[in-house]
Amino acid sequence: LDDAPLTLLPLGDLVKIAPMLAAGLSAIVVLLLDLALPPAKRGALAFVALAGLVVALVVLHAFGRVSSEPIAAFYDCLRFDRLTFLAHNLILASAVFFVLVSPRYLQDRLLPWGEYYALILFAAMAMMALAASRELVTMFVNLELLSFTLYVLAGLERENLRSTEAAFKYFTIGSYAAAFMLFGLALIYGATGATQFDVIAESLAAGELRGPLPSSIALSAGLALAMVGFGFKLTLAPFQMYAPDVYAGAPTPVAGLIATGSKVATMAILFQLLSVIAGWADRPDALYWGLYAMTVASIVVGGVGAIVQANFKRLMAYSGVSHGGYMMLALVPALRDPSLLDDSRRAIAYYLIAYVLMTATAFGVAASLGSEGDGKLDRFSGLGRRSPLLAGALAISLLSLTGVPPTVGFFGKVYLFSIPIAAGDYLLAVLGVLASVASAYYYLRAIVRMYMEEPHRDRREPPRVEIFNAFAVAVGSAGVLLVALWPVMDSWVD
Amino acid sequence: VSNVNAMLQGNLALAMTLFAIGAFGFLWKRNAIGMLLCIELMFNAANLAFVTLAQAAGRAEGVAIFIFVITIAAAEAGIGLALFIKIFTEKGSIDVETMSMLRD
Repeated sequence: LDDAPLTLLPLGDLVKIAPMLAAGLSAIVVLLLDLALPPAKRGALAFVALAGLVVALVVLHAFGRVSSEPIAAFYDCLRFDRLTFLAHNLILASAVFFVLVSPRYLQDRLLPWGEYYALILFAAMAMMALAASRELVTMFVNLELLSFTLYVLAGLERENLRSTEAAFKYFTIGSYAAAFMLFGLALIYGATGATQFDVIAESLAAGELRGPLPSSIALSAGLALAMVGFGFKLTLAPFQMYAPDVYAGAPTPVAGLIATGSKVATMAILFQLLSVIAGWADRPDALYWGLYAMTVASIVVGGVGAIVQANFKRLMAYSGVSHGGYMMLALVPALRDPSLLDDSRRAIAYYLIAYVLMTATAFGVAASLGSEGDGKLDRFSGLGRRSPLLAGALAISLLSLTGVPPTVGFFGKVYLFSIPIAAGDYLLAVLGVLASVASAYYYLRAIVRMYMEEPHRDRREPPRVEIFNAFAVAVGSAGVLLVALWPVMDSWVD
Repeated sequence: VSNVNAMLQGNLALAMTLFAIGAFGFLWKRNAIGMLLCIELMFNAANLAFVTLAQAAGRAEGVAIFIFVITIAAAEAGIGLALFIKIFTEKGSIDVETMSMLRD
């Protein structure tokens, strides 16, 4: 870096981050229009947000198409490769999805339109930047930017104390986890003397720590502390405790975004960081076993926790815990055997597509029901008769979460579980399969309620479903059913 | 070199102590403001570690990182205090024991 010419901002790189700029700028446009428009017309802001996200998607495909070589930007602090490209697509797609299903919910709950859409756009920007980060501090700043938008979104329903309480829990526990992560990053910096992923990888591969604190204990402790922050964002056990409360209290579309886009971004960056660590020649085994324990604990805690839940969003929170565990199950064996990293990346990429489709659809159905979809599972009783579209979409996504063929969730799990088998760790694969079978109990219970129980006395009428909600939910569930048969998937995940 | 080492060890020990005080304090405190202060303490412990390590390595990044972290911590406090005020006006208390609506 010493002989590089000193330019504070390489302006040419702005083109490379154009999709993020599009999301961020449209957030500002939404905020300004929110001031200019009379309250009755602020519903139109949904279209502005939608337009901003579509522009971001178009720009992403126009400039960000990655052929083979990754594109570096801002002195290698950001990098755009295949996995990042996929993550950006999924993030924008889930943002579009939740913008489409939100209006009814926002009306029911009297949420402020301008702030809501602006924060969704800022969150999309932060998620994209997080997925592309290849430097410790860039990563931390983007992670915090994302967290801040989500804290505010979770508490946006100001008249509802449950929403405020969700934001409070999310904020305090999230900041606590972030502080652990930051101290961990300081230790990693101290051990390696670098913050760039590439430079760290290079010195680890050479087997030498070049920092002022060159001890492998410092580096391992740093990574363990950093995992607290990642575990929090991915709701991996034992850092999942907040999730059910936050999902239950936050507005439903926001909970959906927390469960989909934010996890995609975090999983993408965690994969990059762990593939750096996989190349560490004399890595202490404790790191591997620590991640192994987190994986097993997430699958078990997610499965056991979901059984007793009576609230739909709490159930989805525990479901997210076990699905985070499934994804780690494909990543952890690659830590020991770096030759598996490429397969692991493909399996995780595939599962991210599957996970976003099925989870977004499930939250989309709940959000489409407005206040009614926000509560106990018995509110879904008889939905099959009242709204075949919503019930069908939810049933498809729950079947996919269970892993029933021919849904995308089934193929995704086959890919995931093939990684520990390739590594010779049959125990881990068997655990995954058993947990999937057991999960049928709580996913199918919801389906039974929808199709085999009578609707509640006060809720016999068909629910009012807006056209955009119907469209989004139909596309989501069609994706869950059909995307696995689509040959393009192979090139997407590669 | 021994001066640098002494500085490094002393400051890192201080940073770890501050971090531990913050980490345990957070679990100990029942008042939201106290919890926020403990988090700030942990952030600043990490800052101290960054600056010390940058000094020992003779590099500048650690000091730049410190500025980023201060900014983040300020934004964090802004969001947190806004939330606490909202909770205080509704409940008349910012004790975490009162946060138990979401246990259904």
